[in-house]
Amino acid sequence: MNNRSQNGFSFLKYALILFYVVFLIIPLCIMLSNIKNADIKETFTSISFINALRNSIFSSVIATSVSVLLSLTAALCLRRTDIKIKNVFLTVFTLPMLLPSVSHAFGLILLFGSNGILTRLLHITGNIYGFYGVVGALVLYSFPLGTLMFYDVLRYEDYTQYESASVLGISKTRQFISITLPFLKKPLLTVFFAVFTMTFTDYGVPLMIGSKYITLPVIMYNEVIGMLDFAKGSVIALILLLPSLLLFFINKRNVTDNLPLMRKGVKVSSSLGTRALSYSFCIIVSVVISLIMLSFIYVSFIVKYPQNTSFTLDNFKSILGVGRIKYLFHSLVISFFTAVMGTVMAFFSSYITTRTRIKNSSILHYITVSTIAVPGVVLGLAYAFSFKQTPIYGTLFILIAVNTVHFIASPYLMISSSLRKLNENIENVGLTLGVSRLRIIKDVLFPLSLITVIEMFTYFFVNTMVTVSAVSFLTSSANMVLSLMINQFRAQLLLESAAAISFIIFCINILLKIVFVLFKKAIKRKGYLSVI
Amino acid sequence: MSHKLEVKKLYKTFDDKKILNNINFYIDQGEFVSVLGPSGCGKTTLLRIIIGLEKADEGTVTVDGTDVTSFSPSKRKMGIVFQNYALFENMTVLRNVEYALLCAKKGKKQAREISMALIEQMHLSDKINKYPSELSGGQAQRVAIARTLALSPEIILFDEPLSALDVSTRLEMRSELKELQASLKTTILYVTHDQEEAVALSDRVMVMSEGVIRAIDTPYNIVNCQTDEFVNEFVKKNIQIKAESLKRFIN
Repeated sequence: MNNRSQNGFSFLKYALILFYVVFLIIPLCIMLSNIKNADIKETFTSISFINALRNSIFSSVIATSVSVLLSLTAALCLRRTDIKIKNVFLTVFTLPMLLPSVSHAFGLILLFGSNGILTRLLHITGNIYGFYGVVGALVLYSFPLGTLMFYDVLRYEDYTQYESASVLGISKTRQFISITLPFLKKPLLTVFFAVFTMTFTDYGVPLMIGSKYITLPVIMYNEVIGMLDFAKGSVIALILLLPSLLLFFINKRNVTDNLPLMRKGVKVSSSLGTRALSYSFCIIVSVVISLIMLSFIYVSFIVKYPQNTSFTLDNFKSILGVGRIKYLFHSLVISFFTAVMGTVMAFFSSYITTRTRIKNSSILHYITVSTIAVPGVVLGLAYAFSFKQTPIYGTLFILIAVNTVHFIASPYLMISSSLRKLNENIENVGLTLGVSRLRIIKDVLFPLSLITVIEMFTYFFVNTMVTVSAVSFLTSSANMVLSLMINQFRAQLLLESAAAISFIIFCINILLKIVFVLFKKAIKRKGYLSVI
Repeated sequence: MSHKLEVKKLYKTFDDKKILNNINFYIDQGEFVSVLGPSGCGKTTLLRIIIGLEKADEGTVTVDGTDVTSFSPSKRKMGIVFQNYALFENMTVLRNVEYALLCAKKGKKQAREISMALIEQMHLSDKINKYPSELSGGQAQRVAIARTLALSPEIILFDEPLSALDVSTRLEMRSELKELQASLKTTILYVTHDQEEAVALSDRVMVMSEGVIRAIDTPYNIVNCQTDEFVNEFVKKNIQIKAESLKRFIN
């Protein structure tokens, strides 16, 4: 690398590190430095806290166990059996990702609440509010993540060991127990902790459907927003941080372990019985997810459920009407700029750490990756502590910053994997031909990783559209976003408007996904992408 | 008269390990010199230092008597063909060759003319609109050579360019390389670990081991008149073994 470009990228590295110092490290330090022994003692002796801690652990463990089991089954059905329309099933399985967590809880209320659609239709007795509702909604919320993680892992399993086992006459069941399950041991642990962290730190679901079943994030939210007790909030934030940190270190160890070499992808052939079971499973899961989606759509278009089920567009008019349309506008602006800023930051961070030999670039790598260990609700509280007295508090910028930091780790890892696959001498060829690194990035590396870049953009956009945890402590009427209005409307018993918001968010996200798929197809038609 | 390329007292250390230890040699205009040695002997590092992708701890590199040690790679009048070619996968064959010329501010028309001539010379005229992923190993290598030649380098460096090819393509490419050098009269420094390849292609062969030059001589002398134990072991025996295998195969 010549001196000019070395200096340029070195400067960029420091600028990125400075961003993390200001928007990650300092806020966390400020928040944690506010914790005093007395606060810890007071928090840990409070009965409500002990109950909430117990509820959080219990509901998260149950929800995680169910979710991991279901997502593993789903991934096995899609990767290890030769059922048809796998893409359709995968799309349906991942649809819940396009909705905020509150919407899943809200969907369950619409279906199984006191006046729920299915409650009335099937004359179901019992109560969805509380533990069962929380677990159900958390399963729904975390199921797509688990499925995608297992789906990805199963792609890299080596088929030659199955061939050897078949030659030795080992039965399929035995192969599953002695080959597949040991292969899945580490990923299982990673997925379990990822899902656990997700469910343990989510406050949208218990807030919406928990009723008297209070969990830690809800207490934290109530203490900070309701009682303005930031100290107690910080103690809870610290507890919420622990499983994420554990996950981070487990993952770090897993990543450094050598991955088994995949000589041959697994060939799929399954018996009629396995196929029938897989179809049944996939269809049942798809129906459940679709029912939740359909419940939003249905309730969005009626006057008042269940009293007046006539068709209306008034719910959308009330959201998109004067005075409220700005919340949609805020959501779109924040999501768009988070996507732009996050994608650019992740791309250049990854470029510096994977394709240059700039000194100490590993610091940038570790900081970027470590953001995954900070739950959104903790980051949001840390920002509230640190930026409350600054001009950026209450602006759209603070929400863009918090979302960028909150979501950057996964896109960074995505683009790093993509850039690492590209020939390591591309820039060297450029240097010998007298072409600058920036021009090589623009003309070669960027086009070659375009699909990943678009995927990163979509990831940032969709997640920012649906997030409630990272932004809940940082919004006022000046920067309120759409996802936070779902609970507000529900609290005002405006279920139809709340459903309409979920529907709007879903439509925007699905539209973006469709554009992405079309774009990907258009790029693939160019021919050169077979190498990526 | 100065040599086309001269390397003097070159030293390089990585993590306290001596990679290059007092390397001295020269190449004259139009000469084809191979650097032969086992993996990890420092030959690729030597190549990278010569073209300027790596900095030496000590020593100089001169081209036509001019010290280019501090020059950037593009100012050294050299081109390089990498082991895995490093073609721009998002560009067609024509665009791969044309790219450097356009970046060097050559006019579009001139860039196109030069590129087309080089593509024709490399027998790739029917592939101009193909992407690298649609080419065979031999064709991809020809594109890499054409791209390197586009800026008319006076010295071309090859970093094990044939190692990724199958046997028949490798033999074919060997003779093409030789023909190319004869027609262009370019100076070539060629890194390989294949004894047969070095002997078949070169005017002189330089044998390296553990960062040190063990011998520089004509292929005949390297194979037949060496007293150095490593050279005898690494070159002569290997070539004899290959000849024996070939003989057995023919019989």
